Amino acid sequence: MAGQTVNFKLNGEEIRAAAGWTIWQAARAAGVFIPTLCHHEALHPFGACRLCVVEVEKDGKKTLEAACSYPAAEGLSVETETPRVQKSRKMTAALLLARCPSVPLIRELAARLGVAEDSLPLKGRAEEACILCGRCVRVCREAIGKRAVSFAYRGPQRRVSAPFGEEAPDCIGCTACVFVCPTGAVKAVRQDNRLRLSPWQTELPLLSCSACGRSFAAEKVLRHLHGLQKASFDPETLCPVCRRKQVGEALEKVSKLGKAGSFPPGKEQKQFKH
Amino acid sequence: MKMHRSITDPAALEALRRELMAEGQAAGASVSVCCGTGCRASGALEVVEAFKQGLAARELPVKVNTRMTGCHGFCEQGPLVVLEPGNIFYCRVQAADVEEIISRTIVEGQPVERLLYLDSASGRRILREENVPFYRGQERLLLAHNGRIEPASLADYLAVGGYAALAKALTEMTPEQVIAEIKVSGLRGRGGGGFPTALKWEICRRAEGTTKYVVCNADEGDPGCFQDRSLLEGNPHSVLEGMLIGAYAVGAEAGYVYVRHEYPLAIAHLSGAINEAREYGLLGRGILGTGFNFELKISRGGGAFVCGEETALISSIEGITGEPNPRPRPPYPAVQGLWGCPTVINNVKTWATVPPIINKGGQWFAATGTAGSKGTMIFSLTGKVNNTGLVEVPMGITLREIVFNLGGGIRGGKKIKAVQTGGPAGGCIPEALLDLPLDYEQLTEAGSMMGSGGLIVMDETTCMVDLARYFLSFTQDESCGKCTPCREGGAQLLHLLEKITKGQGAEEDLELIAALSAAMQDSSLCALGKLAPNPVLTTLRFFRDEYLAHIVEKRCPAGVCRSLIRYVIDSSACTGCGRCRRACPAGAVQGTKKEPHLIDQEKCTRCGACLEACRFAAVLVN
Amino acid sequence: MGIDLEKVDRIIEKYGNDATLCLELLQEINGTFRYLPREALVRVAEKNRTPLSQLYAMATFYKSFNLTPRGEHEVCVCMGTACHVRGAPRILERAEEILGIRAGETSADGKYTLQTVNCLGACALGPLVTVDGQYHGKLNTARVEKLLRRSPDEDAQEHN
Repeated sequence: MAGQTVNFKLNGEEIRAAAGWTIWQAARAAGVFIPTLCHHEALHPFGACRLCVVEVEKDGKKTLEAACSYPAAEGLSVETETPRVQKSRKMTAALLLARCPSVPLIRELAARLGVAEDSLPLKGRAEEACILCGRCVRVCREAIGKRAVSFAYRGPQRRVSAPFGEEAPDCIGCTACVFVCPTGAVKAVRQDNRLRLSPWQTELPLLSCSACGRSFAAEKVLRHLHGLQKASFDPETLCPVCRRKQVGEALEKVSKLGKAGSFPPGKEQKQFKH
Repeated sequence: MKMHRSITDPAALEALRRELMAEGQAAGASVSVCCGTGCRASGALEVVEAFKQGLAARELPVKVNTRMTGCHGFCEQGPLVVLEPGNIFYCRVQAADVEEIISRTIVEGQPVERLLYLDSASGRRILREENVPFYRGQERLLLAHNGRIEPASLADYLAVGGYAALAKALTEMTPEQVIAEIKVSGLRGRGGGGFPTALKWEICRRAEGTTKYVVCNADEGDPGCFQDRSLLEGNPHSVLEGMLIGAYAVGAEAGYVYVRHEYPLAIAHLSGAINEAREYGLLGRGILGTGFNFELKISRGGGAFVCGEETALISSIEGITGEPNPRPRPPYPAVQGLWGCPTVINNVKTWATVPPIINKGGQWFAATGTAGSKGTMIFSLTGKVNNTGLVEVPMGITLREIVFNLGGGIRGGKKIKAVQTGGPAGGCIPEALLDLPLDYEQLTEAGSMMGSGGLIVMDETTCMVDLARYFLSFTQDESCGKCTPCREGGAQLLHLLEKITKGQGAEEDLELIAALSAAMQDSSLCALGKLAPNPVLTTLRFFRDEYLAHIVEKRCPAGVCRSLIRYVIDSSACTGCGRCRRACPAGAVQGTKKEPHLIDQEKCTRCGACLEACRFAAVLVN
Repeated sequence: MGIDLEKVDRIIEKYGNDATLCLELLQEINGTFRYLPREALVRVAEKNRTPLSQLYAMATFYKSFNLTPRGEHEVCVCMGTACHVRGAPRILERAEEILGIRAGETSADGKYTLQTVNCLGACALGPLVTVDGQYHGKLNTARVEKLLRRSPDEDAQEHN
């Protein structure tokens, strides 16, 4: 497959994509913007939010397909902004707005697509922020390999949840879920040397830097990372800032001994200031 | 009848078959008691026991076999008993009737009149099963043996010609020839979509990979359908044989049958059949002395309608993700299915159709049906029709023929309003279109679909708005909740329909319903969401008046939607018998004996118990 | 509330660590204990090294599983289409009134669990109710009353 390419039409223009790319990937490479909420480049296509639908013509038949998961293929003709696409996208945004009425990102999206505030009768809870894109669940499974959280229940009751809606025993506190969440529904709060993750109801102790004494990461994360590097876990660990400082000082020492250019000490201190 | 050898080659199979057939002919008579789920619910097992005891207690000149067969299809009249010779058909048989059947029919050769089927049209009793109108209009290909064999018995299946098609395919045909024969037959998927079976097989055969799978989709979740259940319960070997042939054709050595956990009897019979087939070498390595190997496992579903969707079904069998969510397609399962391997997934009926096609040829099969839809189809005929049960009919028959000839018309002499086809993904066909020939294209054109073959008959007392609401609440309940249009759109749509059935709807709601439906159809991830609006759209298309009556006049013409109806007693018809008073759980019916009664509207919860209880049609719905 | 973990272990042993059998394994635990006890799921997760979140996802996704103990007797009302058009909603309502619980609930004395199912596949006999797996077809509100008012124990005696 390596090196192979496929040619297809995107908004009337012939474009080339690597074999195995999705329409979304090909469009991005060609500079064509297709909105999406559930898709994340670090994760497998999921096809849940349906914002990225595009009109695909294949064998003379036009259908709406999710660009994030539909493979780019020879001879397709893809349109990203037809009235049919816009109509569908607008309704999807309206549905998400009705579910999460107070999430800024959703409100902005809806406003940009021209969705009126009360276009749908059934309203979600004001505090609802989760659009069920599953990025948190997927990053935990695909990128971290932990599967600490999952979807639970189904249909209108579907939610993301730690087992039994209580503390997630397999959570290591890496906060990747917080990082990928597009709406701020997954949150991490650091307080009193502890990391609190919601909605996972999970609390983990943070490890303190053996140099500066600040708490910086959950112990389980560090154990996990050491495990990946096949190195034994040393509880006397430095926080990233102190580690960089240490490395910097070592480099400085080397440069003083040798003749290569040195770090101006003043600048370095400013840079590494906590 | 005891078999004791492994079947090592086609010749041994034929020899064994001859032996079994001779044995069968030697038996003087047989009593077949339908032991499908329907008849069991009506007391069939007690009837079997009574026959066994009654026959054992007597000295009879001939040997009489008592057989517990699978579903005969006419569940309405169960428990059903068929006596051979003579094809004598008794219905609604209870254990207490058995003594009389033995002494009158088996010993004296006389029918028991009162147990014979009463044809309401002619007012006459009918002696033979084949002459009962419900059966006379049918063409039974898949259900042919359901009433004749013990379901899990390999001996019985062999005696009716079982596994001859497998032997023929393995020894006389190449895999390509098998696929070509299926192509000639024009067989299309019987699970809903109607995808050409041969094409699916061909794609899978040509797909890269050495490991391939065949899967039988028996997650019959469509409410109102039970033909897959009846086939698996009544003739599991036919499904097994079909899968073996399919596996040979596509190059698979392993397969799964995915069955709903709600079907315990089907699971029991199927595992019995699989075990016996394995014991006799029809599953395993070197089947019938050829180089063909095949193993089959049962995978029990956990109660989720969405698992009928192919990619969700795959996730469910894999059991890895824990969430049987539909996956984006392409790739299609025939190219990338179970564990990423090419996989053919076919419905129970599709698999069971394969052996007769191989036996008699694709041409023979294609001679029945319409231009685009060949062969026969099994429908579950239910609802407000007189004869409910399973009917197997040639494609192209009209709904009117099914409802009025086979089904015996509408219950209680009421007027037919519509027939719902295709389950929650289907639509309602109004009375005016009853002469439509039933095939895939015609049904789709009418806004419905073939689906799994459910036909639910509705009369004037069925509210179409309530029905649409019902189907949506079903699809919402069964939606996996993965994609936005199905989960959120379905909830909005259901909310709107609930508003209308409560008399709180506005005319603008109909536009919003149309817009939401269009969005769901266009952009949902899988077929469940794409098809969920169908019942709403077809009822809106054909019964807009009824919607408007709810919205504008705040009236439910069918007398179903509670917020819009009142029960009253017609004092001129009421005899004061008191049945309604006793039936009312709310204590809302008042009156003294032999005087017309009254319903206290304050107390009445509109449950309809009084209407059900009244024998004088004195309870009216306004 | 402690459960017999040995029973769980035996079931785990029977199915082994085969992902395709995970659903079957849970079915058997659900059948044995009449629900999926949390301790049992934790045990399966430990022994089979299956993520607990995955078991929880399955336990809440599939209708056949319960996370709380079911009653001694299970009453299940079919809400399939054929049953619906023949009055299943009335049957359910009556059952709820008689048992004093809503669909999905278990009575306080632990005697009954009332459930609904979207189709039992005996559509020709609708409306339909099962009591402890026994099918009762062609019901009306009066017959439901008769069926549920007498205790299933008496019912069982009659069947024997």
